[in-house]
Amino acid sequence: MISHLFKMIWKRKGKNSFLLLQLFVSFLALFLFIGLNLKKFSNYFKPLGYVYENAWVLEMEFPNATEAQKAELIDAVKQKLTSVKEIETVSVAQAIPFYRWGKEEDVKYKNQVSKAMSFEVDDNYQKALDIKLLEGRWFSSKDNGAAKLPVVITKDLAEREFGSSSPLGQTFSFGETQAVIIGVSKSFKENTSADVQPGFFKRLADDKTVSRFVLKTRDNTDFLSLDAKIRKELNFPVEFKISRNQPLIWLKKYAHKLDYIQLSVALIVFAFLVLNVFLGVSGVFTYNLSKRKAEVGLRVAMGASSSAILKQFLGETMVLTTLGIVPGVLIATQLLIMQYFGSYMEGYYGPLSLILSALFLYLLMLSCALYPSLKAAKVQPATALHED
Amino acid sequence: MMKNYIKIAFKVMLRKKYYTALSLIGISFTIMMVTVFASFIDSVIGANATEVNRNRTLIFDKVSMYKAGKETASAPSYPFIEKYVAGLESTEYVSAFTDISYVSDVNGRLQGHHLKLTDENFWKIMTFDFLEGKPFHQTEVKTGARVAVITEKAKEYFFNDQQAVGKSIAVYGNSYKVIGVVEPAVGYSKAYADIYLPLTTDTSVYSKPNEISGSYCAMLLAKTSDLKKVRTELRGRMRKIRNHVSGVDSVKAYAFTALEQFSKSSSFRDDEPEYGKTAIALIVVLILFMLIPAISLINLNLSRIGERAEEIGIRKSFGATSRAVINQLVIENIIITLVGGLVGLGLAIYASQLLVVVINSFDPLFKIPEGSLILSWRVFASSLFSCLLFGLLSGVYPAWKISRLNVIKALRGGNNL
Amino acid sequence: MIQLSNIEKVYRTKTIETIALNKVNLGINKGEFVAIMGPSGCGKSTLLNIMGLLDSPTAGTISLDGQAVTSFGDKKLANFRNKKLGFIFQSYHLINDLSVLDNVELPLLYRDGVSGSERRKRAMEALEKVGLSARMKHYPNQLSGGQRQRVAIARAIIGDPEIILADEPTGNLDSVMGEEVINILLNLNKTDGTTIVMVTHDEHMANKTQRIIRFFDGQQVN
Repeated sequence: MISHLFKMIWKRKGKNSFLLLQLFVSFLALFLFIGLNLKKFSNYFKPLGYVYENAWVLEMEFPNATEAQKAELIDAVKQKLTSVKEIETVSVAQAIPFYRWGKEEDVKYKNQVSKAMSFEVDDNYQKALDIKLLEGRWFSSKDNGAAKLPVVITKDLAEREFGSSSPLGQTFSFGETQAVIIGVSKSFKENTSADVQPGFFKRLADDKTVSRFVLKTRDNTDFLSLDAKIRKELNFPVEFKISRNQPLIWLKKYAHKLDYIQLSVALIVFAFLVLNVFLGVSGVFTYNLSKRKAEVGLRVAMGASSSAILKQFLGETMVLTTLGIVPGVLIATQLLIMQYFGSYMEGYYGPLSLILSALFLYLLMLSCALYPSLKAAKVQPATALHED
Repeated sequence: MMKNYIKIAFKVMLRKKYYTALSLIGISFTIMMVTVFASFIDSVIGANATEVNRNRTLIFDKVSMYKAGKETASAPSYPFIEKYVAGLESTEYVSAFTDISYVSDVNGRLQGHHLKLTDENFWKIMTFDFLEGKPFHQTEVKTGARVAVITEKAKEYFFNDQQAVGKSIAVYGNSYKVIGVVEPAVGYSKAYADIYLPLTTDTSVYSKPNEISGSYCAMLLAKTSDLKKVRTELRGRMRKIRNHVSGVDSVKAYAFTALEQFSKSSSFRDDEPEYGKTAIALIVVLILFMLIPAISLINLNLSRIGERAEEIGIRKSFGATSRAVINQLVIENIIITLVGGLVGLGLAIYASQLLVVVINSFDPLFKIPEGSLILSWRVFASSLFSCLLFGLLSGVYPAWKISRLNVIKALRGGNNL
Repeated sequence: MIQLSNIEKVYRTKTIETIALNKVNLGINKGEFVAIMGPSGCGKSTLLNIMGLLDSPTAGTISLDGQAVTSFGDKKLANFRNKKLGFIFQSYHLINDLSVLDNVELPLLYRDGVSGSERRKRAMEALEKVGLSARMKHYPNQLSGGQRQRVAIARAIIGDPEIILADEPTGNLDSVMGEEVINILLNLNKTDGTTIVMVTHDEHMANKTQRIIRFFDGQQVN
């Protein structure tokens, strides 16, 4: 039966040329759309690796203070914040999710150099964001004066560099720094839509004057009063500025606004293209099948049941779709082999996008063909055969 | 003849309801998308009621500093703008500004505000409609007076319907006296904000007077439409300062109009923009995007016209030339496309409002005004033009194909196997 | 073989009621070659369609090969048509997109358990019977009318039907080609004992059959 359908369509390929062109272009558009969004979309379902709901971000500036004065001031800020009863933990950090991410470093392990994110944070960071450790411990005052910089690496870095063996106690270097691994944490993601990157937390040096704080609050629902409380508490004789004093959930909103806009625009464009393909193809199928009434009548006379007719037309649709997307699949495969889309379609995302777009197109075509085919299957053979 | 064609076109549309419906839905949604897209682009790059001189307003928002071959780029600082960019011969005005956000709380009602810290020249470059009061002037900017110009929307929020001028609003714990109320500018434009304050109210603005990098932008209103002159002068100034500023070997300044920024393929060079490449890239994207609806329409037309093979056969057997048949069918197609296009334009008005609502729903605090995507006459004209083009392109091939049909076959109705 | 009793066929539109067949009683024996004659619109084609199970009567019963087929459902009808009936039409009704061989194979495509090679073998045999083996790779539009009708006959006999229903098989052909076609049908009737019912306008062709049934205004006249 398949070869029969193939023969029919092959002879009609001239008549179907625009339909085939439509299928080809639609497949490529679908592939691009799915491929460029699939990875990001799947990121939404991966865990963040921390708890952001209770966290709070405070950023301060001391424009005229010297480095030594700054260090004192930062200590004072920590003291004052700890005295606020709503605040549970005070942590100083360079990297804050949804807001400011880590720095990319060239990590050298056993003479192999690879990229990893570094997050410069202090001893309280783990508690402030509830980062779960899989192995080992977080750094603490015990590490003061250690010869090598203590670091906690994420699960992803551990898997990439050490496979299944335990990374605890292993050393690697980045830049001039020698680091020793004292713990392994769960994956750590910049935001909901971000890719999971391998990374490591390095202990913030004592002499660094970072005035960015992550606070864990007991309750931040009444953020206005907490904002006022923190502002009231922080009072210094020198010039200072509070440039940010907000719950992390707000920063999350800002960080994702563009993502959501992008995703919804992509969805609208997608829906629009699908609608257009649906309309065009439905029209063609309705017309083509109405022109083939006599053929239906003949097939019924030869002993085809109406389900056989339905099967034939749906089968033809599948064959036609296959013919239409084959060049598209070849081009897409070629692009994937060339890694044209880089990180968007790396690993299994490329083939998966290919399969999903093909599958979607088959379903779309079948849905276009269903109604006209049902109508064709109900044709009265006697009238169809005598229409001319 | 034309009248006859038009009459037939409408009759055919009514008779072949199924195909008409498919075509109309397809066309109207396509034109709707094109219109919304175009009005968005227009709001980003086009002139509007506030930014009437947009085609000769350059935005200077990036400086590159080179030291020992290494480049660092950032936004310029206000002192840098004041010292090295203000007062260019080829410009009428130079205004510095920065955008920040502020969340206020009036009686427990939270509201995000876009603040713009700027100077007196801002009001000279922009054309704002003042509903109340006046803008701030040089003296207020010099002294750092705590005064504010707010939009009608902000006024409604802070003061309901009462007069605002003379009253005070609190921003970051400081009290500002309202001296003017303006109609809101178009969202996504450089003029847009809810509250405008003199930039000197930011006490840290002069804290590092020798720093090049900062968080400000400048707007340069050129005297003539010869923007090259402004950039050449700016480059000249940058060359002069390279030895005066410690720690930097050379400095590059990037100043382009919104249109140039949009069309410049690379933002890493300070030379004149090239339009060709971007235009080609844009056209390729647009063609890819429009190809699917266009092929759909051609497919539909092939079917719709195919249904009328008999009619064409009769016309030809009574002496219609192929050319006459093509003319008739193409005109019919343009008419149906125009009808669909008008429906699409109507839909676009609702769709753009809906888009603003959707965008606003992602951020409950900071909302862009509902009128942000307004259909300008430019957008209207370009949509109508693309509609005509669409109708012509999708109509010609099917019409040509059917006009070559064998008369006998056409008359038989073609219901063969 | 074919037994029609009290067959009525009424076509109804909103305003007009047309009686195509009015209480037709007719029996055709196994191995008979019968011609049905009558003017245009007398209902002979309708009768053939009803015999071929392509159309259902408004009232009355049909029995084919001893089976009361009036009550058959779609599946059973399709199966019956496929195995017991063969059709020949005035305008051949060949599928232009398929080669001669593929056209002839068509009925076996709807029969379960026939392999591709067997279909091919039987189609070649059928084409041999109508003397068109040399043309099996051609497409219908490359053939003359007579050749097309012979392809249609090959298609009708490939499934070894017991009854062949021919609707003006010579109507579109000149006398030489028509003669060829009728001779093939006569031969089929004689050697294989196939029951043939043929609707025709042509008195000369009708006279070659064993029995002529004449119709007028939806009724049999004798």
